Amino acid sequence: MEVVKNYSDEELIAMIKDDATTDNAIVFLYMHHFENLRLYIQQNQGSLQDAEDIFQEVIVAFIELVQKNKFRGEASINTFLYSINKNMWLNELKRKGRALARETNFETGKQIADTGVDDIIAGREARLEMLGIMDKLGELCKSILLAFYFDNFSMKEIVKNMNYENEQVLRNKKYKCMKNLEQLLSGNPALVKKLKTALKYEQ
Amino acid sequence: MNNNDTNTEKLIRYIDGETDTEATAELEHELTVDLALREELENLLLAKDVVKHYGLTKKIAAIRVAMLPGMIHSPAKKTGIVKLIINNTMKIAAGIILIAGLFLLYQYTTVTSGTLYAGQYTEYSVSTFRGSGAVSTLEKAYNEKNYSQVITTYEQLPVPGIREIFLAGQAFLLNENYPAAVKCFTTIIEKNKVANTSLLSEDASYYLALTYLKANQPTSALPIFKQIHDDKNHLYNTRVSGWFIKKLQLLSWKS
Repeated sequence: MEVVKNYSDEELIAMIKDDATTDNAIVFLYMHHFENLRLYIQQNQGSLQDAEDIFQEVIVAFIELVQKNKFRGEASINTFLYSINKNMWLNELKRKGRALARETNFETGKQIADTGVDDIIAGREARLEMLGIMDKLGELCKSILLAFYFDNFSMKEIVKNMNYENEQVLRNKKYKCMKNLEQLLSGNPALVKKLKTALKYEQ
Repeated sequence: MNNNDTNTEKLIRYIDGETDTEATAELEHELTVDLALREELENLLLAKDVVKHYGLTKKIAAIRVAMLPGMIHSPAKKTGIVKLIINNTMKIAAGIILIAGLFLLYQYTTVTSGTLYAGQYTEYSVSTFRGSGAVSTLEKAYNEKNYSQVITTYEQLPVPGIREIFLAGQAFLLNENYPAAVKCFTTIIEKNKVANTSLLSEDASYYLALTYLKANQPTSALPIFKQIHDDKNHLYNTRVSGWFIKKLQLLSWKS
C-alpha cells in the first residue's frame, strides 16, 4: 500500500484509470489538494461545508474526465483542479446571486488551456440533476444497477449476494430497472440533451 | 413481452456484451436503419453512464466522510521553522495513520468470501482422458463442464479412485454442494495419510480451503491457506500471497 507516496501526475492518471487503484487515487487527491482548494472557497465567501461539497464535485468530474480519456494534461493536475474548483465556486455564487465583486464573471483571461474545465462547468447542473433521477429508481433497483454497472459484479455474484432465487429472476429485475431508468430519462428530453453533453465532457 | 420490450431486452444484452456475433451483427444492421432503435440504444447507454456517475459520486462521498474530519486544519499561522517541521511531520504521520486506518476500514468493509474466492479460484483442468468405461465417462463429463453428470457417474462407481473423488469434489464445489465437496477433498487427504502417499493431496488441500471460502467459512479456510502459504514447496504456494492471507484474516474477524 503506497498511497502516501507523492505520485507524479502521470502516475496519478494511471491510478485513476485502473479500477484497482482508483480509491487510492481519490484518497491521494483529498490528501494533497483539498486543503488548498478549501482555502480558496473559505476566503471567498464560502463555508467549510461549501468547500467540501464543491471539492467532491471537482473530484467526481475530474475522475470521469480522466476515465473517458478527455483529460489532455495541458495543465498540471494541481492547476487543473484549482481551475475547476474556482470556476465551480464562482458558478455556485452566481447561481445564488452572490457574485464576487472582483470576479463577476469567470476568469476568462486567466483560463487555462485545458478546455475540459469549461465542459465540466457547463455540465454541472445536469450532473446534479442526474443524482435525483437515480434516487427516483428506488433502493433495490439502484443496488442492482450499481452492482452490475459500477462495481462490475457478475450476475452470478449478485444472485448470491442479494439472495435472489436464480439468475433469471435477477435478470428480469435488472431489465425492469434499466427500462425504468431509460423511461425516466426519455421522459425528459431536455435533460437527456444536457446529460449527453455533461457525461461525454464535450460540447 | 411486446416487440418494444423485445427490442429493449436485445439492446440491454448488447450493451452488456451478452449477444453472440450473429445477433450483434444483426442488431448493428438494424441500428443503421431504425432511428427509434438507435435513440433507445443511446438512452440506455446514457442510463448506464448515469449509474456509473451515481456510483462514483457515492464512493467519493463515502471516502470524504471517512477522510475529512481528520483533515481540516485551522488557517495557517506564521510559525518558526522548527514548528513548521514539527507540523509537517505531524501532518505526514497523521496522514499515514489516517490512510492506513482508512485502507483497513475499506478492506474490512469490502472484503467478502465471494470476492476472495473469485480472485483465488482457478478451474482445475483435466487435459487427457484415461482408460475407458465409467472413469473415462466421468472425466469426459468434467471436461465438458457437465458437473451434474460427473456427480451422477461418481455416485455409481463402486470403488472410486483418488482422481475420481477429486473430480467429484470439483463438481460438487462448482454445483455449490459444499459439504459433499469438503467430504471428497478431506477423503483424499486422509487416504493419502493412511497410505503414506501424496496423490493429488496438495491439490485437495488447496481446493478444500477454497470450498470453505466459497461456503463462507473463512475461519476453516484460513489455517489451510496459511499452511500452503508457509510451505514454500507446496504446489499452490505461489498462489497464496501474504496479502491474501491478511485479507482472509480480516474476513475471519468479520465473521
